[in-house]
Amino acid sequence: MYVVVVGGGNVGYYLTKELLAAGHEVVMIEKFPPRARQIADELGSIVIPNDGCEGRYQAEAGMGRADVVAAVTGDDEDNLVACQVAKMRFNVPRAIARVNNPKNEHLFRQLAIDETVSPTRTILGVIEHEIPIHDLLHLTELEKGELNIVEAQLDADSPVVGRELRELRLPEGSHIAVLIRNDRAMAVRPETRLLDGDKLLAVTSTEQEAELRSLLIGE
Amino acid sequence: MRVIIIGCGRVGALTATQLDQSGDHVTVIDTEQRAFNRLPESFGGVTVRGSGGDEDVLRGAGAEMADLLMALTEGDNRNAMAAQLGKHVFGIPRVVAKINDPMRAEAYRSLGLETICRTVILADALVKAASEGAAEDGFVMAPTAEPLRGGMIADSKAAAEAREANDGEPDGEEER
Amino acid sequence: MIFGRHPEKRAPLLTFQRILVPLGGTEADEPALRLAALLHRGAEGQVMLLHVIEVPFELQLDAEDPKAIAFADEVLGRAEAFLTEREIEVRTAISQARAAGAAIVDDAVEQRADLIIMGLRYKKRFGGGWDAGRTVPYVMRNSTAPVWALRDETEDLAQTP
Repeated sequence: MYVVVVGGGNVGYYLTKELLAAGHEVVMIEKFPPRARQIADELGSIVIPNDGCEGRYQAEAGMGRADVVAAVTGDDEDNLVACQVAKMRFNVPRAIARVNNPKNEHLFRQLAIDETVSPTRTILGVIEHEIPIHDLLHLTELEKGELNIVEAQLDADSPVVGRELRELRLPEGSHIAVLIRNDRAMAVRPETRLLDGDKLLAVTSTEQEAELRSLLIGE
Repeated sequence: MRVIIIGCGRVGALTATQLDQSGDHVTVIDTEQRAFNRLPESFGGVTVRGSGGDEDVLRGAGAEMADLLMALTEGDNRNAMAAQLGKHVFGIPRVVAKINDPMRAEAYRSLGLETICRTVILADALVKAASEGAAEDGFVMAPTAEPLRGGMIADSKAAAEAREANDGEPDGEEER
Repeated sequence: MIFGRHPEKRAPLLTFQRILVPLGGTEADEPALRLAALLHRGAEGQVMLLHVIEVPFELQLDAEDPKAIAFADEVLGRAEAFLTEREIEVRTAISQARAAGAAIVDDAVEQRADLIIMGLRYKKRFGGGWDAGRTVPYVMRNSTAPVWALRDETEDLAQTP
């Protein structure tokens, strides 16, 4: 694959190294010349010391034949513009943007950025796994963020504890996929009675998430 | 008209002031409190301290009711993102982004943004003024007073003409 | 003057058996070639000529550009003729790379060159100073073999900043 990486910070640098090690062809665009030189000294003549948001420098980087553009700078707006220019001018098949502020993710998705990666959200997910917060924990997103797999931890306050699954009025488009009880995964059956301490894995649409949460966890 | 302006720099402040004076309902957003010092005492609009690229800040500034959003910060990319936020998340009917790089401005026009490009405007105005001259109300503004005679460079064309007008004779030998 | 690292090897001062002369295809190459011819001693040893085609990222590294290759052949052909006239053994090579500097340094290592000679253009920015370009400084910085860069006389000097 031919990958253009926009941004030579830590993420861009390690990403480039890994891609090269995996045998892909990579070009990096990094706008701070000393940093660009430093990386080129180590990785070879594959760094363009210019602004990766500009069409001219994207052209120089061979964006026209890129399979993927990964915009991984520390600034969301730069990542957005780099991806949009790449898609608009060069029809790059896949544009991936790093999104630092999780609040920007859904805007990026609406603007047809193919995939976004939010390190903040990922770390938040890891933290929340350690510290149970009474909310739905996002495990992963499907279908460009339209569907989510979420995990709900039931405790004594939960409105559904003590009830059978078939009694639950789940929102349209939500399904309970798996029940985890005593660290074992169980298939869910209509007559399964939910207990304090159960963990439910559910698939839900973004719109129905709030409803699902109040159903399973309350408040 | 309900207008939100992001960026209270010189351009944003002047635009906000004039729109406010002509009766529009203006809200100005800037991350720095002291940027609002550029607004006159008489400014009747609202100021909001925060980032115009933040959805919550925009919502708090009335984006849901806005008719027009102008993103006028010094960052082309920030303006492009904020304008798109306004258009796609809040459905603001008109969004304008200041994008000083002509190539990027073109690209964003094809994405439905109105753009204003300082580079192109200034260059166009200068080229026009080069052939048509300055004007009282043009972009290249004519001077409002002539300099004192004593301040002229001695052997300039203008000085020679002025002397000629005074003496009634050309300064043959003194000109180089 | 040139001093060897080991004083006992001081004489003879200038014997190089494998001289690499990268050619850019401009008038800057001429002094480099003349110097190489001058330095070359005896029946042993050779002068190695190299022309690097810099391939832009828009193309794959192994993409063939017939115009570039024709140019390379012409440049190398002329230089080779100049040296063979003086009965010097010549090797020629064309290489394709993203940046010429790296390719030159690699070639010097591969060919065990004991000297690299490069010509410099006396380039002036618009009314400004002298510009060494990218390739010569890169080779200067990164080559373990000695590197000599030289330029010809010029009629007008660049301005000092």
